[in-house]
Amino acid sequence: MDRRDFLKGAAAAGTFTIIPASALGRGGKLAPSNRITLGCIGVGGQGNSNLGAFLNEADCQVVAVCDVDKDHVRDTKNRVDRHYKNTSCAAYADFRELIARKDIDAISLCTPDHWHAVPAILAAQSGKDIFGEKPISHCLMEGRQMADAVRKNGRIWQTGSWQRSTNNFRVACELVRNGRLGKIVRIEVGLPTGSPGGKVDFKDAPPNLDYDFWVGPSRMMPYCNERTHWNWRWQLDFGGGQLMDWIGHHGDIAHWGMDWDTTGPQEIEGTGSYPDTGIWDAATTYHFVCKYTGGVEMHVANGGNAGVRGGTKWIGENGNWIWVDRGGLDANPKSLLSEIIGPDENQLFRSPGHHRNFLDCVKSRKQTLTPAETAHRSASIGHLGQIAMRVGRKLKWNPVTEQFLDDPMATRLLSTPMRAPWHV
Amino acid sequence: MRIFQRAFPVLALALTLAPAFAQGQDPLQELRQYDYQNRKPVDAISKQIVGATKDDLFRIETGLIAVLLDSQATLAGKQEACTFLSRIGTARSVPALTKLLAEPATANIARLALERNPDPVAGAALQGALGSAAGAALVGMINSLGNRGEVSSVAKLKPLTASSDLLVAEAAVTALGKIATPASVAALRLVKNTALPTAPALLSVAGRLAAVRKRTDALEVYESLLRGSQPEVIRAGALTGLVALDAPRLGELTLALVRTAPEPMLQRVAGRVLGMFVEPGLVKAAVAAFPTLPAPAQIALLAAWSDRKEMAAAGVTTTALNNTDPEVQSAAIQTAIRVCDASVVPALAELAKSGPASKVARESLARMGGKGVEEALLKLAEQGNLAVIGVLGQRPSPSSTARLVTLAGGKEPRSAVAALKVLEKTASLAQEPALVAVLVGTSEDDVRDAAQAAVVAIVQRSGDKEGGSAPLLAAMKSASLSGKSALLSALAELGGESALAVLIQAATSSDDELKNAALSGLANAWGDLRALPTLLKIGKSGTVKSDRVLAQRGCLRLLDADEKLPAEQKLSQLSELFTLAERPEEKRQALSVLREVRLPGAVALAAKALDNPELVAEAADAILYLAAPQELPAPRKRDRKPLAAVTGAETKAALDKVLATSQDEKVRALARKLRAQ
Repeated sequence: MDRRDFLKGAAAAGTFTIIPASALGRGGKLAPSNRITLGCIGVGGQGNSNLGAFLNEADCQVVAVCDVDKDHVRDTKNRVDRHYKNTSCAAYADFRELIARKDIDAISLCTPDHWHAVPAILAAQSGKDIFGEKPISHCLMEGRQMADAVRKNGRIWQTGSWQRSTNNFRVACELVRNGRLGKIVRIEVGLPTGSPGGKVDFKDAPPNLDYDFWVGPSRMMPYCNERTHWNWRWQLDFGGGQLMDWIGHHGDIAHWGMDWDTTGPQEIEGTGSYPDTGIWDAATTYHFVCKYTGGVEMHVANGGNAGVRGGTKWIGENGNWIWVDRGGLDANPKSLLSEIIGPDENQLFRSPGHHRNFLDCVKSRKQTLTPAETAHRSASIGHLGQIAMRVGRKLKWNPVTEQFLDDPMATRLLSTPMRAPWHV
Repeated sequence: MRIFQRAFPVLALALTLAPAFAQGQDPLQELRQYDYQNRKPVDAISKQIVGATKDDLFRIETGLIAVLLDSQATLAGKQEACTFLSRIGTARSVPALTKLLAEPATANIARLALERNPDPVAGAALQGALGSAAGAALVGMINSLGNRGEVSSVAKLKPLTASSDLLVAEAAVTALGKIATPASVAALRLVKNTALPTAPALLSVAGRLAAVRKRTDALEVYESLLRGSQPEVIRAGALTGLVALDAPRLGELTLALVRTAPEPMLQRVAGRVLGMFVEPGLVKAAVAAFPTLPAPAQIALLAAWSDRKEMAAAGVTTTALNNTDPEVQSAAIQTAIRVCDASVVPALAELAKSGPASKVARESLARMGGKGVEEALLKLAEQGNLAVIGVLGQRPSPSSTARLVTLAGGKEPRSAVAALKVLEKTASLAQEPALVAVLVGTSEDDVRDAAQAAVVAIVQRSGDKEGGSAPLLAAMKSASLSGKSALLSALAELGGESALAVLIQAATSSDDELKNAALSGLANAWGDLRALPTLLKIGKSGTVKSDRVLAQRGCLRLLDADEKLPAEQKLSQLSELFTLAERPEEKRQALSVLREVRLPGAVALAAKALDNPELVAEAADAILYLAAPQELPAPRKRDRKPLAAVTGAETKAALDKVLATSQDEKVRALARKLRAQ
């Protein structure tokens, strides 16, 4: 038994061959018993987007929706019922009721960051497979616990880092992995710039929103309009700013290209600027450097800061580079773009789509394209950067034990205590 | 001094911070009045912590303690103080935090600060407060003890598992699951309430026991949880834990589970585990058992073998290629390309031809590596397997390209076309002469079209039109008439000076086929105005009407596409073509091209066309378009400014004429509107 690989879980994710949907019933008529029953927790903007993707899969049946916003629940239930031409979609305000249902195979989790760990771990312990949004966690240790819960309970996890399911990102990573740039000496990850804001306008929460539940495990803060829905991500109590919102995309791609899905940096150092007005307190500009094994430096910055261009860029020892983002793929020299990765080289998985890949893996029990361990390691880049910026010194990190070396203050920032009664 | 400060924190604070207070700008002082409105003191303290020295931290902690002890400080200020202390607090802040534990409003935030404080006195403070706490505050303290892994708290947590408050009992069970000691296991074994998450807690504690090398204790817990009375997810978790510990007789255990588990999910998990075993005896047993296993287990087993390339599974995988369950068949196809050698290629190629598994078979063959695979695919391609020819296009290599070139020149037209379609995407200038030979030599229209498309694509991809045209020009000398026609079509698509010369010469050939091919190429495919004089000449004085019409249309197409010719010259050309046009169709096309010539003369020309009843609609449309500013549609919009309106006497007159001649009310309304501006 190759226990080490088994325990690492995602160790060979990049080389996995995943059963395509065409053979698993996609598009065909399936008996109800062959359908994957899905419950959607968090059905705001992104949650509805994911819901739509799952509704389009014939071997998946959305049977329940859940949100602390009554309007979201009502609208989404109606959407699901219209799709299936019935009224059987269950609606919940408390995710625990949804997870307690034994007839639900999997969940789609699209809550704010501070509400990822509790439902995800409970779902894993309850035998559900999970499609979860990025970043996987609100703090680093939550990510560790989530990845462990998924692995220990034998569950499948897919992260909404959908860039891995698109061709330009895959091609870029294949070129890097197959040595077309030679030894990589530097990586640049450019993410969006944040904005100060969040009008201080405290008031009672609207009646459709269970605000206490919404705050959940985080510190209780007074309600105001720009606290919740979408804007939560600009506040450190609930999200992590543009940095954490995007690190699970471009940082994740940087890791994918380097085959670093189960590891992390060894040193982190950087600075950020934080607004002191308004309720949004996440860093708006930032630049930190992660040093990986072999001395490879990853510069993470908001776009334009420190000369870092938005997207992911790998730079080889001879100065050649490959750059990719949602707008395209570029390289120097351009001839790199015509390179073909042959069957005997390191080919990455051609995804049929992120949601489809998840459903396929629910059946085959293979690792998805972005399993929990991978998502945790991608998010860790951002978490470690945040901590380095908060303590203001170079941090030494052991990516195996996931502990700082001799820095108790930084160590405390690896976890976020939860407001009672919530815990993981 | 330290003892003094613990005993008299307020006094110590005064001593420590007196200079700062005197300035009235100390954020620690301002924090006392913080009410969530102005975050400047919070931000200032955050900045002070960044890079702070030990002395700085001592001073900051002292100030934060003072906020906690200040009865006049706001709740928000205390909350932020607790949050900061959760980052930097030492044993010094524990008494102040402990005091806050007793207050409902501050119990939670104080507890959060204690949870993160690594000093043992913080844990002791939490334990000490358990007895007097209730409800959410008690739950929080229990959670914190669990998160801290406080071994000494097991005795206090144990009775709480029987609390009538379910939240308290659940928190106690979960906390015990986080404390790695056999005493926790013993406490959890005594929990009677089946509504509590005792089994997940036992799984958790077993994992933690394993992590601290208490293997025997962990094994005992896992084995107890593998029993059939436990839910699927617990059994799956227990199996996973046993794998992590490399438990004895694990292979037999897993095989039995795969066979007997009633739940498909557990069958899958166990199948996955079974497939991870590398010991030959266990692999042999799994292979032998495969045909008798339920489908979910078979799929997971195949997937696991695929991931680790278990060659011993080649035979059973090959057999499964014909499994009647489509999911198992698909898994077998995916697995076969990783565990089988080239001998499996014919079977996969057969599946690739047609049927529900054809897509996955093709995708798999395209990615299959290994010795002899390409050769096997090429042989099948040469035998006429069209699906395999397509697959070769997905995995190009120099040797397969060479063989496909040969196939393209072969006698079987369907194979030739399929090969040419692949070469269109994969071949380079090195293969061009051979493909030109196919182009001029074939008698099959489909093959000729495919060869032309391939040659054009290769040359365009190379970026060397002149060099790429050379083999085509060379072939002109000896090609048959039909071959020359094909070459001319290709040359027209490619462009270049040499190609143009040949096309112009051929366009006046006495041989109709050659002439038609050249004229068609220039009129329909040529890409710039260099062909205009020749086309204009034929359009003006060609002896055959169809030639004239084709040439006129070619001129109009080139003028429409051109963006460099000065507007005056373009108008002049269009005026001439408008006069030359013998049919309304070409005149309409000219009016369409005229719309972007923003000159009064263009308006006048369109106005003149209003005299022809067959052209009124197009002429009016051109006038209205010219008389108003226009945004160009994308992608041209990106490179060009918006078109300015043509104004003046000609435009007014033209609009009046539109009003006089058009019967279309919408057109008339727009004309009136423009006339009034």
